[in-house]
Amino acid sequence: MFFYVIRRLLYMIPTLLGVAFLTFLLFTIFGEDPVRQALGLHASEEAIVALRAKWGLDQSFAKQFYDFLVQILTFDYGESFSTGEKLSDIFCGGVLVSLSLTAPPFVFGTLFNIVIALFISYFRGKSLDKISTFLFVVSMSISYLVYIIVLQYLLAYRFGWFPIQGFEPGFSSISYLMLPWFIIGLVSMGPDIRLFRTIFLDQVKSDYIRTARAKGASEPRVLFVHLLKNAMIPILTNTVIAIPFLITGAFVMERYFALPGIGDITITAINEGDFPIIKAMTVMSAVLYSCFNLLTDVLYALVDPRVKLS
Amino acid sequence: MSQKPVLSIKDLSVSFATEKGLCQAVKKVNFAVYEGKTLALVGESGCGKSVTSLAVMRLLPDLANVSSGSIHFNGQDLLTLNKNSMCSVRGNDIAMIFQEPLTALNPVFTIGEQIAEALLIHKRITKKQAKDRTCELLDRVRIPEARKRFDEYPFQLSGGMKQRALIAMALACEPKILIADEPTTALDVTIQAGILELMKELQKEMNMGIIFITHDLGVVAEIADAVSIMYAGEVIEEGDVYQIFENPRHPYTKGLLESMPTLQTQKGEKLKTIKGSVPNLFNRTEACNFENRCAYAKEVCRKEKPFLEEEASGAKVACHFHRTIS
Ligand SMILES: Nc1ncnc2c1ncn2[C@@H]1O[C@H](COP(=O)(O)OP(=O)(O)OP(=O)(O)O)[C@@H](O)[C@H]1O
Ligand SMILES: [Mg+2]
Repeated sequence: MFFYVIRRLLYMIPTLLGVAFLTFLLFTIFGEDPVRQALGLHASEEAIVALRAKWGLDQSFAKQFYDFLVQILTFDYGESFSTGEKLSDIFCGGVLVSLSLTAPPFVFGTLFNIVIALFISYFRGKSLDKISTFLFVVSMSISYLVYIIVLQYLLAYRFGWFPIQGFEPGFSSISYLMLPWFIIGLVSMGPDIRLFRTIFLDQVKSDYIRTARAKGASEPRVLFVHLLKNAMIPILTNTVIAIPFLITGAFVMERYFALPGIGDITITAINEGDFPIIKAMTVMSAVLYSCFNLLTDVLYALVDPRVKLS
Repeated sequence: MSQKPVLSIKDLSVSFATEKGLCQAVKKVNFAVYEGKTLALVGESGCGKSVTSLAVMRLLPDLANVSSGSIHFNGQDLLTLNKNSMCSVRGNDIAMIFQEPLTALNPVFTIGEQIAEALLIHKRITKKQAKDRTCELLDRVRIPEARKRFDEYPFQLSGGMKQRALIAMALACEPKILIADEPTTALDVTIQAGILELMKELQKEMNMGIIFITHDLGVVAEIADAVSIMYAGEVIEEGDVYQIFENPRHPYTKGLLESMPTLQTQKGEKLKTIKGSVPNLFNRTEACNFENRCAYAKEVCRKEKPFLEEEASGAKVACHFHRTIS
């Protein structure tokens, strides 16, 4: 297992080099000239040359690519074109905000949804199952935006239970995050529970469940011990895929609630043509996806004895 | 057999509520199982053997309904027990091994964990004791290197080993009744013989009653004391194993025996088969179920269903002409 992880990490190097090179190529060849973007149409020739030199754009391609690689490795992406802030600071702040927005509802929501889905599976075919299926289908056919707009309007604006939008770092951030957490959790219930229920009901018909019952295991034991561990395999596949999204942020939520997360930073950067940010974001997404791919495989091996990592 | 049966089933009927209507899979079945004896339930595919045995375990699928009958065990009717009391009967007093050994084990737990679980559910013992007992059991069902196998997962075992592990699991609490639903059908012939031998040995040791389900009369001759022949959800002939093999009364039983290859069967000679197919179980008529496939069928067979009648020998048969056609 240990050597497997090391090897996979080594394999990541060529992949990420490729991504870095492609990103670099696309931005240098096809991107607009960032200096003109920054200084506008009427800039003087000297100002342009000076800025070029400052950003290292007067160097050869090879030197520029090398610099880019050094930036990636040292996590020092230089400064934003538009604000001049250090990019690594912007990112660290953004990632923290995004994570605090999405991670809690993801972790607790998933656990909560698994328990609810098990509960519903216990009553499969009964009225509780039928009513909840109906409710979830209805809730899933309503757009994400409707939940945000309606709940923001009602709970924050009309009733004043939550701040409408904004963010403060530290403990007071919780008051700003409560409503977004609630919405993310609520929206995930329909699809999650439907999916988990399908997975559980699929497993309930298996022979090994019948064997467990035949040896005298009680129904809760059958569900929570025998069924759940088997169901973890498909559940993992479906949830771990969502993890990189937690860090890259819930763009829409961050926009509506004015939370300065990664999603929000990226959209602003795109609007303002802030290339270093976009370039860094692209590379970092690739790193994240590679890492989570690896994490998924390792998790598989932990739940399913048939999977051997070698 | 003047002895009291351990398990006795009376007038058991099971129906399935399907989209096509009510399907009567088992109808008014009676049988009894005695200590240390093996009852074979024999019949072709779909005749209701598995449904009968699942009804005894109260493990029928949700859409099945036991419409009548009683299942007496230990002085109580299992059909009236609540869920919890039924859980303490399953695996402890009545255990079952299933038709498909390849999928019957839980793929994500080790063999040892799964066998020890049966002990931990029913007996007041520590994990350590359960582990020791499990290793003894694995040894007893002749799985080599028991200590090492304890920590192996089902995918690491062959089909025959899996079935042995399942037998060890079923016998962990020394049940009074073992239901074996075609335990060897999915296995190679050479492995079959070993498993049957093992079951006979363990039966002697624990003095348990076995319900052995099969459609293979060769296996019946090997293991059974008493035989019940099922056809279309009903028992149509029963008796001890000698009566059935030497003096079959029902045309269906005769057909089954004739379709069995023997040492006398010449090479190239065609085995006899029973022509026609099982009547549908949705609209049961007044006729004898076997009437459409029976060479002896007469007018009365289409009008009246024969009941299981007891003969002087103690055997029972459901045929209007059982006296004339032997
Ligand atoms: N889940 C089910 N839904 C509907 N009908 C069923 C179901 N299970 C069994 N039946 C009905 O019950 C009848 C008896 O099935 P059963 O499984 O007991 O046959 P069997 O004798 O065990 O056959 P085999 O030798 O193939 O195992 C079938 O013919 C079928 O019509
Ligand atoms: Mg069967």
